[in-house]
Amino acid sequence: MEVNNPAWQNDLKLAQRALTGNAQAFAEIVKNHQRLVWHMAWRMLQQRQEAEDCSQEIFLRVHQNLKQYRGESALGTWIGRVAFSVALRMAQKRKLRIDIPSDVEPELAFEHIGSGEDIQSAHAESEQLQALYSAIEQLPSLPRTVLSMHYRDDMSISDIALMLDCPEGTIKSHLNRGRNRLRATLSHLEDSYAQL
Amino acid sequence: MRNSSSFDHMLKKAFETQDYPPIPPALLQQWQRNRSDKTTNWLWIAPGLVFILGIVVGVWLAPMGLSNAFESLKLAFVAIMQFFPESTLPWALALVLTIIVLTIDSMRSWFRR
Repeated sequence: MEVNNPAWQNDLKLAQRALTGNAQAFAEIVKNHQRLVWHMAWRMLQQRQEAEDCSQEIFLRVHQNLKQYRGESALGTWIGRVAFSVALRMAQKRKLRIDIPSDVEPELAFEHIGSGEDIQSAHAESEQLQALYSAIEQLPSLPRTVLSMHYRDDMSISDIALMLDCPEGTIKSHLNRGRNRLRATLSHLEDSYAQL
Repeated sequence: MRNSSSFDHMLKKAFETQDYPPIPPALLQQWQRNRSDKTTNWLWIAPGLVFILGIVVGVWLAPMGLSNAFESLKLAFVAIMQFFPESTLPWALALVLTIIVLTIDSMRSWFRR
Protein backbone atom coordinates (compact mmCIF):
# COMPACT_ATOMS: atom_id res chain seq x y z
CA MET A 1 0.00 0.00 0.00
CA GLU A 2 1.29 3.45 -0.89
CA VAL A 3 1.70 5.88 1.99
CA ASN A 4 1.03 9.48 0.97
CA ASN A 5 1.36 11.35 4.23
CA PRO A 6 5.06 12.35 4.66
CA ALA A 7 4.88 12.09 8.47
CA TRP A 8 3.44 8.59 8.21
CA GLN A 9 6.15 7.68 5.68
CA ASN A 10 8.77 8.66 8.25
CA ASP A 11 6.90 6.66 10.89
CA LEU A 12 6.85 3.65 8.57
CA LYS A 13 10.58 3.98 7.83
CA LEU A 14 11.35 4.14 11.54
CA ALA A 15 9.17 1.10 12.20
CA GLN A 16 10.87 -0.80 9.37
CA ARG A 17 14.30 0.06 10.80
CA ALA A 18 13.16 -1.24 14.17
CA LEU A 19 11.87 -4.40 12.47
CA THR A 20 15.31 -5.16 10.99
CA GLY A 21 16.54 -5.50 14.57
CA ASN A 22 17.81 -1.96 14.96
CA ALA A 23 17.39 -1.53 18.72
CA GLN A 24 18.22 2.17 18.49
CA ALA A 25 15.25 2.70 16.17
CA PHE A 26 12.91 1.02 18.62
CA ALA A 27 14.35 3.07 21.50
CA GLU A 28 13.53 6.14 19.39
CA ILE A 29 9.93 4.95 19.02
CA VAL A 30 9.73 4.49 22.80
CA LYS A 31 11.22 7.94 23.37
CA ASN A 32 8.77 9.60 20.94
CA HIS A 33 5.67 7.93 22.32
CA GLN A 34 6.40 7.26 26.00
CA ARG A 35 4.32 10.27 27.08
CA LEU A 36 1.28 9.04 25.14
CA VAL A 37 1.64 5.52 26.55
CA TRP A 38 2.28 6.68 30.12
CA HIS A 39 -0.70 9.03 30.08
CA MET A 40 -2.99 6.36 28.66
CA ALA A 41 -1.87 3.86 31.33
CA TRP A 42 -2.18 6.45 34.10
CA ARG A 43 -5.61 7.67 33.02
CA MET A 44 -6.98 4.15 32.80
CA LEU A 45 -5.42 2.74 35.98
CA GLN A 46 -4.70 5.71 38.30
CA GLN A 47 -2.14 3.66 40.20
CA ARG A 48 1.56 4.31 39.70
CA GLN A 49 3.02 0.80 39.83
CA GLU A 50 0.22 -0.67 37.74
CA ALA A 51 0.54 2.14 35.21
CA GLU A 52 4.29 1.45 34.98
CA ASP A 53 3.75 -2.30 34.46
CA CYS A 54 1.06 -1.49 31.93
CA SER A 55 3.36 0.89 30.00
CA GLN A 56 6.08 -1.77 29.80
CA GLU A 57 3.51 -4.31 28.61
CA ILE A 58 2.29 -1.84 25.97
CA PHE A 59 5.77 -1.33 24.51
CA LEU A 60 6.36 -5.08 24.58
CA ARG A 61 3.17 -5.56 22.57
CA VAL A 62 4.19 -2.77 20.19
CA HIS A 63 7.56 -4.50 19.72
CA GLN A 64 5.94 -7.87 19.05
CA ASN A 65 3.33 -6.53 16.64
CA LEU A 66 5.20 -3.75 14.89
CA LYS A 67 5.09 -5.64 11.57
CA GLN A 68 1.33 -5.05 11.58
CA TYR A 69 1.88 -1.29 11.29
CA ARG A 70 1.67 -0.42 7.58
CA GLY A 71 1.71 3.36 7.68
CA GLU A 72 -2.07 3.62 7.27
CA SER A 73 -2.19 6.12 10.15
CA ALA A 74 0.30 7.97 12.32
CA LEU A 75 2.45 5.61 14.36
CA GLY A 76 1.20 7.47 17.47
CA THR A 77 -2.40 6.55 16.63
CA TRP A 78 -1.45 2.91 16.13
CA ILE A 79 0.52 2.82 19.38
CA GLY A 80 -2.36 4.62 21.14
CA ARG A 81 -4.71 1.87 19.97
CA VAL A 82 -2.39 -0.83 21.31
CA ALA A 83 -2.00 1.17 24.55
CA PHE A 84 -5.75 1.48 25.01
CA SER A 85 -6.44 -2.21 24.41
CA VAL A 86 -3.70 -3.29 26.86
CA ALA A 87 -4.75 -0.73 29.50
CA LEU A 88 -8.44 -1.62 29.13
CA ARG A 89 -7.71 -5.32 29.59
CA MET A 90 -5.58 -4.56 32.64
CA ALA A 91 -8.31 -2.34 34.12
CA GLN A 92 -10.88 -5.11 33.55
CA LYS A 93 -8.56 -7.65 35.17
CA ARG A 94 -8.16 -5.37 38.21
CA LYS A 95 -11.98 -5.06 38.29
CA LEU A 96 -11.79 -1.26 38.10
CA ARG A 97 -14.89 0.69 37.16
CA ILE A 98 -14.65 1.10 33.41
CA ASP A 99 -17.76 3.08 32.55
CA ILE A 100 -20.66 4.99 34.08
CA PRO A 101 -23.71 2.68 34.14
CA SER A 102 -26.41 4.34 32.05
CA ASP A 103 -29.12 3.62 34.67
CA VAL A 104 -27.40 5.73 37.33
CA GLU A 105 -26.44 8.51 35.00
CA PRO A 106 -27.51 11.80 36.59
CA GLU A 107 -30.38 13.46 34.78
CA LEU A 108 -28.99 16.92 34.46
CA ALA A 109 -30.75 19.39 32.29
CA PHE A 110 -28.51 22.40 32.00
CA GLU A 111 -31.08 24.79 33.46
CA HIS A 112 -31.14 22.86 36.73
CA ILE A 113 -27.47 23.13 37.39
CA GLY A 114 -26.10 25.50 39.93
CA SER A 115 -27.76 27.88 42.29
CA GLY A 116 -28.35 30.62 39.78
CA GLU A 117 -25.32 32.55 40.96
CA ASP A 118 -21.85 32.33 39.50
CA ILE A 119 -19.10 32.26 42.04
CA GLN A 120 -16.47 34.54 40.61
CA SER A 121 -13.85 34.84 43.29
CA ALA A 122 -10.43 33.24 42.89
CA HIS A 123 -10.97 31.35 46.11
CA ALA A 124 -14.18 29.83 44.81
CA GLU A 125 -12.53 28.88 41.55
CA SER A 126 -9.72 27.19 43.38
CA GLU A 127 -12.24 25.22 45.44
CA GLN A 128 -14.10 24.27 42.30
CA LEU A 129 -10.87 23.06 40.74
CA GLN A 130 -10.05 20.96 43.82
CA ALA A 131 -13.54 19.47 43.68
CA LEU A 132 -13.10 18.74 39.98
CA TYR A 133 -9.68 17.08 40.53
CA SER A 134 -11.18 14.69 43.03
CA ALA A 135 -14.26 14.11 40.85
CA ILE A 136 -12.01 13.35 37.84
CA GLU A 137 -10.09 10.82 39.93
CA GLN A 138 -13.34 9.15 40.90
CA LEU A 139 -14.62 8.89 37.34
CA PRO A 140 -14.59 5.41 35.80
CA SER A 141 -11.60 4.71 33.53
CA LEU A 142 -13.23 5.23 30.14
CA PRO A 143 -14.91 8.63 30.56
CA ARG A 144 -11.86 9.90 32.48
CA THR A 145 -9.57 8.85 29.63
CA VAL A 146 -11.83 10.25 26.91
CA LEU A 147 -12.36 13.58 28.71
CA SER A 148 -8.66 13.90 29.41
CA MET A 149 -7.70 13.22 25.78
CA HIS A 150 -10.26 15.80 24.68
CA TYR A 151 -9.58 18.58 27.18
CA ARG A 152 -5.92 18.09 28.06
CA ASP A 153 -4.51 16.82 24.75
CA ASP A 154 -6.95 18.82 22.58
CA MET A 155 -7.78 15.73 20.56
CA SER A 156 -10.83 15.80 18.31
CA ILE A 157 -13.64 13.28 18.74
CA SER A 158 -12.70 11.58 15.46
CA ASP A 159 -9.05 11.22 16.55
CA ILE A 160 -10.09 9.75 19.90
CA ALA A 161 -12.45 7.36 18.10
CA LEU A 162 -9.60 6.27 15.84
CA MET A 163 -7.26 5.67 18.76
CA LEU A 164 -9.81 3.88 20.93
CA ASP A 165 -11.07 1.97 17.91
CA CYS A 166 -14.75 2.71 18.49
CA PRO A 167 -17.46 4.80 16.76
CA GLU A 168 -17.54 8.58 17.22
CA GLY A 169 -21.02 8.28 18.76
CA THR A 170 -19.57 6.16 21.58
CA ILE A 171 -16.91 8.79 22.26
CA LYS A 172 -19.55 11.54 22.32
CA SER A 173 -21.59 9.48 24.76
CA HIS A 174 -18.55 8.98 27.07
CA LEU A 175 -17.84 12.71 26.87
CA ASN A 176 -21.42 13.69 27.73
CA ARG A 177 -21.79 11.24 30.56
CA GLY A 178 -18.43 12.16 32.05
CA ARG A 179 -19.20 15.86 31.69
CA ASN A 180 -22.58 15.43 33.35
CA ARG A 181 -21.00 13.56 36.23
CA LEU A 182 -18.44 16.33 36.75
CA ARG A 183 -21.07 19.02 36.31
CA ALA A 184 -23.12 17.39 39.07
CA THR A 185 -20.11 17.59 41.39
CA LEU A 186 -19.72 21.26 40.67
CA SER A 187 -23.42 21.97 41.07
CA HIS A 188 -23.35 20.40 44.56
CA LEU A 189 -20.51 22.72 45.43
CA GLU A 190 -22.38 25.74 44.13
CA ASP A 191 -25.49 24.68 46.03
CA SER A 192 -23.50 24.56 49.25
CA TYR A 193 -22.24 28.09 48.54
CA ALA A 194 -25.80 29.23 47.91
CA GLN A 195 -26.93 27.88 51.26
CA LEU A 196 -24.30 29.99 53.10
CA MET B 1 -26.21 30.47 36.07
CA ARG B 2 -23.20 28.54 34.87
CA ASN B 3 -23.32 28.33 31.10
CA SER B 4 -21.90 25.54 28.97
CA SER B 5 -18.86 27.44 27.76
CA SER B 6 -17.82 28.57 31.25
CA PHE B 7 -18.17 24.99 32.46
CA ASP B 8 -16.11 23.76 29.52
CA HIS B 9 -13.53 26.41 30.31
CA MET B 10 -13.38 25.26 33.94
CA LEU B 11 -13.17 21.63 32.84
CA LYS B 12 -10.33 22.38 30.44
CA LYS B 13 -8.47 24.23 33.16
CA ALA B 14 -8.96 21.32 35.58
CA PHE B 15 -7.63 18.75 33.10
CA GLU B 16 -4.74 20.94 32.02
CA THR B 17 -3.59 21.73 35.54
CA GLN B 18 -4.16 18.23 36.88
CA ASP B 19 -0.96 16.68 38.20
CA TYR B 20 0.35 13.66 36.35
CA PRO B 21 3.19 11.60 37.78
CA PRO B 22 6.39 12.02 35.74
CA ILE B 23 7.19 9.42 33.10
CA PRO B 24 9.24 6.69 34.81
CA PRO B 25 12.80 6.79 33.41
CA ALA B 26 12.84 2.96 33.49
CA LEU B 27 10.40 2.96 30.58
CA LEU B 28 13.00 4.15 28.10
CA GLN B 29 16.01 2.70 29.92
CA GLN B 30 14.53 -0.77 29.59
CA TRP B 31 14.71 -0.57 25.80
CA GLN B 32 18.07 1.18 25.72
CA ARG B 33 19.45 -1.52 27.99
CA ASN B 34 18.15 -4.18 25.61
CA ARG B 35 20.42 -2.71 22.97
CA SER B 36 23.53 -3.26 25.09
CA ASP B 37 22.26 -6.74 26.04
CA LYS B 38 22.29 -7.60 22.34
CA THR B 39 25.87 -6.42 22.06
CA THR B 40 26.72 -8.58 25.04
CA ASN B 41 25.59 -11.64 23.04
CA TRP B 42 28.23 -10.86 20.49
CA LEU B 43 30.84 -10.37 23.21
CA TRP B 44 29.97 -13.80 24.60
CA ILE B 45 30.08 -15.55 21.26
CA ALA B 46 33.24 -13.93 19.89
CA PRO B 47 35.64 -15.61 22.38
CA GLY B 48 33.87 -18.92 21.66
CA LEU B 49 34.54 -18.55 17.95
CA VAL B 50 38.19 -17.69 18.60
CA PHE B 51 38.47 -20.75 20.85
CA ILE B 52 37.00 -23.08 18.21
CA LEU B 53 39.24 -21.57 15.54
CA GLY B 54 42.20 -22.03 17.89
CA ILE B 55 41.43 -25.73 18.38
CA VAL B 56 40.99 -26.37 14.65
CA VAL B 57 44.17 -24.55 13.71
CA GLY B 58 45.97 -25.99 16.75
CA VAL B 59 45.05 -29.59 15.87
CA TRP B 60 46.23 -29.04 12.34
CA LEU B 61 49.38 -27.06 13.18
CA ALA B 62 50.49 -28.42 16.56
CA PRO B 63 51.92 -31.73 15.31
CA MET B 64 54.12 -29.82 12.87
CA GLY B 65 55.99 -27.89 15.52
CA LEU B 66 56.10 -24.09 15.69
CA SER B 67 58.57 -23.28 12.89
CA ASN B 68 57.01 -25.86 10.54
CA ALA B 69 53.59 -24.43 11.33
CA PHE B 70 54.71 -20.93 10.38
CA GLU B 71 56.37 -22.29 7.24
CA SER B 72 53.15 -24.09 6.33
CA LEU B 73 51.07 -20.95 6.86
CA LYS B 74 53.53 -18.96 4.74
CA LEU B 75 53.29 -21.53 1.94
CA ALA B 76 49.49 -21.42 2.10
CA PHE B 77 49.55 -17.64 1.93
CA VAL B 78 52.01 -17.67 -0.99
CA ALA B 79 49.84 -20.24 -2.79
CA ILE B 80 46.83 -17.95 -2.46
CA MET B 81 48.80 -14.90 -3.57
CA GLN B 82 49.94 -16.72 -6.72
CA PHE B 83 46.42 -16.45 -8.04
CA PHE B 84 46.78 -12.67 -8.15
CA PRO B 85 49.17 -10.84 -10.51
CA GLU B 86 51.53 -8.48 -8.66
CA SER B 87 49.81 -5.36 -10.08
CA THR B 88 46.44 -6.36 -8.65
CA LEU B 89 47.80 -7.40 -5.24
CA PRO B 90 46.78 -4.17 -3.37
CA TRP B 91 43.26 -4.44 -4.84
CA ALA B 92 43.07 -8.08 -3.81
CA LEU B 93 44.12 -7.18 -0.26
CA ALA B 94 41.57 -4.35 -0.19
CA LEU B 95 38.90 -6.79 -1.40
CA VAL B 96 39.82 -9.34 1.28
CA LEU B 97 39.73 -6.63 3.98
CA THR B 98 36.32 -5.42 2.74
CA ILE B 99 34.94 -8.96 2.80
CA ILE B 100 36.24 -9.42 6.37
CA VAL B 101 34.68 -6.13 7.53
CA LEU B 102 31.34 -6.91 5.83
CA THR B 103 31.32 -10.42 7.29
CA ILE B 104 31.92 -9.11 10.81
CA ASP B 105 29.27 -6.43 10.32
CA SER B 106 26.64 -8.83 9.03
CA MET B 107 27.44 -11.25 11.86
CA ARG B 108 26.89 -8.42 14.35
CA SER B 109 23.52 -7.59 12.74
CA TRP B 110 22.57 -11.23 12.81
CA PHE B 111 23.39 -11.56 16.51
CA ARG B 112 21.47 -8.34 17.30
CA ARG B 113 18.19 -9.85 16.03
